[in-house]
Amino acid sequence: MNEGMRRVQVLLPFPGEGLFDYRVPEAVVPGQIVRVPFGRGAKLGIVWSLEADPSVPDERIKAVEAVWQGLPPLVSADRELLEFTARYYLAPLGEVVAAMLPPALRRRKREPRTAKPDTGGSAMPAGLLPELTPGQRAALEAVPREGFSVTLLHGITGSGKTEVYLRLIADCLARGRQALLLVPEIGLTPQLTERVRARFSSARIVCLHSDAPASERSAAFVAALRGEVDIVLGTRLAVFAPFVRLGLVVVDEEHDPSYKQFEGVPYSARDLAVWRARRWNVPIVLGSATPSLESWAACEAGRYRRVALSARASGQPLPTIELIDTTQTSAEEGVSEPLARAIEETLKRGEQALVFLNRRGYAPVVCCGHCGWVSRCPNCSVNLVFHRDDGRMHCHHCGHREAPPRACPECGALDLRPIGRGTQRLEERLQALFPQARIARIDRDAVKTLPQWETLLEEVRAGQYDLLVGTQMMAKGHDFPSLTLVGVIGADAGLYAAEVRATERMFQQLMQVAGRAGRAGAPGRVLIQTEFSQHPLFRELAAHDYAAFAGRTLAERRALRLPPFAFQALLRADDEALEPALAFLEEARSAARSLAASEARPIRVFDPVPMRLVRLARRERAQLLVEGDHRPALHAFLERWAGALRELPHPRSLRWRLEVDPLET
Amino acid sequence: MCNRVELEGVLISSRGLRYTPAGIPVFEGVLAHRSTQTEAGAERRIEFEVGIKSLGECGLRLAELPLGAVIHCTGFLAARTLKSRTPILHITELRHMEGKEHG
Repeated sequence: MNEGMRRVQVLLPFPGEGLFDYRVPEAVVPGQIVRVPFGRGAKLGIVWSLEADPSVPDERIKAVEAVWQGLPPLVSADRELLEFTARYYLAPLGEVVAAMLPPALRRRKREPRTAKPDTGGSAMPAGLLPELTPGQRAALEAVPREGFSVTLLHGITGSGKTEVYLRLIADCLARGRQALLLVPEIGLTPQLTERVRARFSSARIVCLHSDAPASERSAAFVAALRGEVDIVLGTRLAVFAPFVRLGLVVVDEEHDPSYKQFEGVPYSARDLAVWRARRWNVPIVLGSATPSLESWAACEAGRYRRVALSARASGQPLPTIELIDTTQTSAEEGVSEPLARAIEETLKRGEQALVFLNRRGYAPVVCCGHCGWVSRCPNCSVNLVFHRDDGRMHCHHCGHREAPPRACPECGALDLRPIGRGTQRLEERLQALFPQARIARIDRDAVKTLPQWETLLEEVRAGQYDLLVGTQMMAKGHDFPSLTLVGVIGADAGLYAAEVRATERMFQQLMQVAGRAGRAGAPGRVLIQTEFSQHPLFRELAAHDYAAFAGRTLAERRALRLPPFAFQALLRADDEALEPALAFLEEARSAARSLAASEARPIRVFDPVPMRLVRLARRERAQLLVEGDHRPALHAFLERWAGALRELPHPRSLRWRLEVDPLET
Repeated sequence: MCNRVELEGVLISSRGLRYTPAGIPVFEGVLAHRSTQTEAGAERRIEFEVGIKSLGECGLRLAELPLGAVIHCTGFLAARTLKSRTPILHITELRHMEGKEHG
């Protein structure tokens, strides 16, 4: 070994464990960012451990290419975050570190230049602060500023949760600490971003999200590693941003499923944020008008504190929620007479109305009325959705598009019909009902980029539209001062879906979208069209009683031993055909049964079944669920099972992955 | 199997024009027929109404006709839908005989 050099393990972004031995100068410490030769190229990595494998002969160990000495080493708390993530989600460490190191930084050949000494201007809030409501004051008093604690800030829509976050962040910055603020989707929350920037105009703020330019993400990572950042604001991937003086974590809209990563390592950013806060021994605030039942149950169990904001900051009452029973009233082309009348009255008063339909496109399927043929995706087990704007049929799962056939492929009939209703068709209907109204359709087809979205939000606020037709994009934290009526169409789908969290999602979505009504001036009104007006969910919704909904649903889940009263992991396998996927899962089940038998606590191993959406992008998919009532026992089992799974032979074309705490089973 | 209908009648109702996803115009309406026919050696008066559907060029022409227009058409019978098996007349050829003025 060369003079002054030592052998260390370096963690590289790699589809596997990712730990490789290299020689580094003696002075190098764990956490140091290094560039190392790898294969015919080079990789960026993190010095992981000073323990290296002595069995490998020295001459086979390469020296690192460069130590990026201008960058401080990643602190141990954040190295442990990577280790925890790998352990908890049973993912190889090399894949976890890939989630942390921004791709653009990994491609750099040279170390980023040392930034000019940053004096870090005053991080004090700018301008006149709005007066706090009594609820906000009480909430601020209730959240501890030091030490680890989890607070669920349950604030009704429009109650001013953001102001509470901003005050907490101000306190955190005043103590010279850094704050992490996670939001579900940056594109959907430009208002929040603006407010943070406006409030802390001289603070160093970085925005981390997957749509940010690669160079920006890379620069943000470097700045964060150097501690030259006061506030990290970002989507789920920001949970891996490095910190030096973390003092506060805030997770806004903590119930939002977009905190869950689906590709690569399937982590939950909200859950990792809680772990991180505990490791840094700092407070974390989870905010929502409709908390996840996991967080609600944690409050009931006394693990989280609960702080309620139960009045709207504007002093406005919550909107009234009424049901329109579509078994009694016909709804021509989806819009019932009472809803049409309410829209007309709203428009007459010069106020805005929103009609919510969480289905984009023109019609969810094209059918032949003569033989029953339906437009199916050639790659997936779903129907193709007809879109009016480009006149094509789209698969919303794999992206396949094709022109609608001129004649039915089965019987040759020409009269094919779009059946059902998406936002485009609803827009057409509303325009026919209200020819004078200026209508904006707000869904992922109409709004594709962040600037488009920001412009549209601005135009809506400026009153350039009278009537909005929107999907769940409209349901998240927006303030539209003249919006006073919300109509909901096609909400029933969630009521009887065979999915544990379907009603939870439905309730959250309806409550959020209802919360758009009447936030500023006039009182709001919400009309929901449903065939199931007697369902308790609607009663709880009309009473704005989240606690009743949560109580009833948690009781059901407890009785059925479903999450959060049981812990789950889901093994999914997919292949070109279903049989090999099921066969692999059968083997996996045998392995699981024999391992589970030796566990002290019961692990329930279910049968392999085809997934509901069995065919996706030409792959046939099946799944196997395992459950335990005790998390450590389940994890002990999962670690051994994952090891056994790696040894299981399978066709090359088969892929499998194990997901801990799946959101959908 | 033979399925050819030749019929004259008055256009008495129209559901207007719609288009298939592929952009083919579809006309649907009702045709009223009134005539004298011979049955078992005896003349008799008959009356009926029949649902009509017409696609493409022919459908466009039908859509332009005023209600009350008398047309001579040929076509075939087909079930109204998968569920409703009563036939309607699909018109494939059309001749406009006479008609009321618009209004």
